[in-house]
Amino acid sequence: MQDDATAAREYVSRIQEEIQTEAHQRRESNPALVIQEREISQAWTRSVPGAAAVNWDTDSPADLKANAEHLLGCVDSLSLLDVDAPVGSRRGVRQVKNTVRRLTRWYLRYLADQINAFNHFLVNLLRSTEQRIARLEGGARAAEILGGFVDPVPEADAPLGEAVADLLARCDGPVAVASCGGGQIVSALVRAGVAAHGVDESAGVISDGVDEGLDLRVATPFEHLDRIADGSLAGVVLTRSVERLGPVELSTLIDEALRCVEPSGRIVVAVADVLTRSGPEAELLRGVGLSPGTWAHLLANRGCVVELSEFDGSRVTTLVTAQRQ
Amino acid sequence: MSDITFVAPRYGADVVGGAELGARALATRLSAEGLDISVLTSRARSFDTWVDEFPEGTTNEEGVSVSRFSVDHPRSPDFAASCDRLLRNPEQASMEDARQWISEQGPTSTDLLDAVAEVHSGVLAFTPYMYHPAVQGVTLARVPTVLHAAAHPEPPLGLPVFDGLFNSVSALAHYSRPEQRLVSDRFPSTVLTPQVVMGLPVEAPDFEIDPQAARRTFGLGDEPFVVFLGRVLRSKGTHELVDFFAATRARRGGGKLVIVGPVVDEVSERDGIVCVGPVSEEHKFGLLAAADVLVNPSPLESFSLVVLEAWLAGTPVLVNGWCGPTRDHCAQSGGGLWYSNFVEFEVSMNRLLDDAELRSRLARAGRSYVERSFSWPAVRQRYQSLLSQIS
Repeated sequence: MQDDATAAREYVSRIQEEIQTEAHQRRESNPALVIQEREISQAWTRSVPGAAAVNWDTDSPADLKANAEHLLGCVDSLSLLDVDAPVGSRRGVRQVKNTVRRLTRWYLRYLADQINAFNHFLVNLLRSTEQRIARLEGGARAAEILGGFVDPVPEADAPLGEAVADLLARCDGPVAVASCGGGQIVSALVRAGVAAHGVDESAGVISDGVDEGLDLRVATPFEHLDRIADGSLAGVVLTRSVERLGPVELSTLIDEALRCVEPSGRIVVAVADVLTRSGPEAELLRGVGLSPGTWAHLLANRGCVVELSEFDGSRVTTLVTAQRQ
Repeated sequence: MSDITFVAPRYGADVVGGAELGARALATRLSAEGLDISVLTSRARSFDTWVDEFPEGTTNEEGVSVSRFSVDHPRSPDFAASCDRLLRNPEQASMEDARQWISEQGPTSTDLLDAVAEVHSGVLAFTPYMYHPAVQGVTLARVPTVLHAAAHPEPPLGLPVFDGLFNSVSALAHYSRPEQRLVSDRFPSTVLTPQVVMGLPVEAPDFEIDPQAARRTFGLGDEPFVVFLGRVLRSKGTHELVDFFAATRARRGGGKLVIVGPVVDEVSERDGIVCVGPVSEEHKFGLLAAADVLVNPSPLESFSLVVLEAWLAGTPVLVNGWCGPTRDHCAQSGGGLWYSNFVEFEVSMNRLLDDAELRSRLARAGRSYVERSFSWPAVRQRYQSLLSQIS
């Protein structure tokens, strides 16, 4: 059933791309359509609250890029000022308004031309800035792009969930699972009586867990931890896509996790050992992720008491538990 | 003593409104499962006036104990004007002005609030966030509270008076993931509040859906048509839909849009646009099944029952891409398309109307999504999971 759901999502996503491409081509080939669209959109924008103009689904770099392009398109179409104010349909009023419009047109046209020229250059500047940012991001995201050529990190299985839950079972406070996937670890924690919630970047991945009533949310670990007040969590679990973070991001994540946990709170790291990577994975993910030993080193350096425990899993073989002092 | 006491500004089988329908859907189903369910509400039927219409007192409605209380005063006719002024820049409003606004917004009922304070067991479930009973009631609660906020990205959400409400409830039940994200962005300190994306139970009707009968009743013949279903309201995007559809129709050389629901803001007469007004549940599902596409142009929805009902009736949907919850339904189910401007609307509409295979595939995926995620057992499990964390 999950495969059917994924296939349906991918199908709609493909159709939407085709629609956007066709819409783009139609605008390019028919300038009259652009004018008509602008008139209709302006009428529409008047009744749409500004706050509704939020793109909710920017959960991947591709989405972010598409969103930026879409917003630039909106800026472009809305930046053109038109001096032909509507005059309405009531006869007497229309005539008066028509006269006022004729009288003021020469002056408004003069102003509008200057503002339109300014807007035109401003939009071009935004586009060129967007392209420069895209180039910079391309460089900064090299690891992420290369990571796209290897399989995604698999879901935690039930035994791993149980093992993590055992380590945090005595937590008397909320526990956040960063990069929770479908929620196996959250589910095990909840069964153990822990108030656990999870976050993951992918809306699709958490769907099944959400359907089962787990508290799983769409967010990056950074976004989520950033919202949590100092010392508010009893524990943090770092797992799954944490394996695919570079050193700077990992260091930031550790600091954020330590900030969020209470003085005696715990951080559990459940990731595969980078030293066991082989084949294309080893080459493409070079410099990404840490071995359990290095996790332990970094956490101990930040003043935690660290324990390594063996785990008999197919990928994850060592769990790192750090207790803040 | 009730297991769950819902607190809603209005309640009743003939009360129209998303959050109110949601409260009733939950209350009646939970009651049918043997839970002791109560509702505390006003006597009003209309949210424009809050005039007492239902009789005062407690009645049993569909197994739910419903207690209705008189309002202290109806809503002032000047309310809309004061709204305009305050809501132009809600984040800058003072707490005093915001408190004044929530009192004027109503329904203000001292008796209702006294009843909230008298609840000593179970859980208090407030819905929606934007009215006086929730904002004031939560401060009087003596038992754990859950908020079914039904929040949209609308100006009042920015008022400071709602910080206290969202930050003090014991749990949050969201209708959709975009709503969860909105609440989390607006009230960051709810990040550690137990919460769940619960949605609402949506199930196929217990009568046979008869599209032909609906076509006959409304004189639609055998012609294909697109349907809109809901309140005809400018802020719900109905008028933009009419403009978009008329422009598309002019270029296609035909097509019909059937508008179903109570008309609040009049729609100008156009070729190919048919307004049929409010209809029965039987005709509603009949029209949904007979239509080629359901369009929901609203930019402000927190769940949108009608989108899910269209899928149950075997019809794909086209929604406003600026509306997070409906777009999320379509993206997650693979059951519908979305548009963000006129050209996308036209291209999407043409594809849907010209491709029966596309329509059928989308409708199947949508139906499967509703059955998987919004059957009553699925929703109940999520609600129980949330309540178990606070009670």
